[in-house]
Amino acid sequence: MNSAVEVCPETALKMIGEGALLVDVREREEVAEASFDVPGVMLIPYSEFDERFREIPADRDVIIACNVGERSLMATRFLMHNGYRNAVNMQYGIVRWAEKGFPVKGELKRKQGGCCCGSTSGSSNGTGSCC
Amino acid sequence: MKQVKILGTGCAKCSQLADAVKAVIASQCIDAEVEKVEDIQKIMAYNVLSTPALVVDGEVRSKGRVPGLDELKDLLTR
Repeated sequence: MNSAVEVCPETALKMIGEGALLVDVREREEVAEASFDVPGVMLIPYSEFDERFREIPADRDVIIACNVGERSLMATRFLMHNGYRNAVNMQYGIVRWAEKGFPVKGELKRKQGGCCCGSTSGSSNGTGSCC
Repeated sequence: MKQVKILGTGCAKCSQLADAVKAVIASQCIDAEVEKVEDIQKIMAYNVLSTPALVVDGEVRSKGRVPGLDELKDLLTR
């Protein structure tokens, strides 16, 4: 399988303006704190992604995003594995997005990654990321 | 012999699941071969994203969590 295509938040914002779909794979409690303030953003938590990924249209450009770009990279590769040819990963996630001053609802408190184990607190080493 | 696979990229929960599975297999005298699968491509071949996952004889029986010992016993013997 080829490597996932990755785009920076600036490119992601431009793509959204041109009709790409933003898919946020952060968990519900993360989204409740702060979320991408763009029209039509789709929320599919990482912990549910392998059950619900078919909700993502395969015929649109799709940008996958999370907190810092780690879970979204895995999700992007997962989509590619399942035949999605137009999915790209947004590098550095909503943290960099917010730092750039791009539209966010709420207050971003979590500045570290989530966990590949289907939760936001599954890390045993305190870094917030276990994969 | 049952073929048991633990899917996970090497995080703490994956090791926790592997240890628990081995403990249940030993305590219940289950005839099983256990393999850890850490390669993400091989994990995705099971259509699993949320790890750790437990695969028994090719069937994904749990994912994204570490089941308790009683549930593991059921998952490994059903």
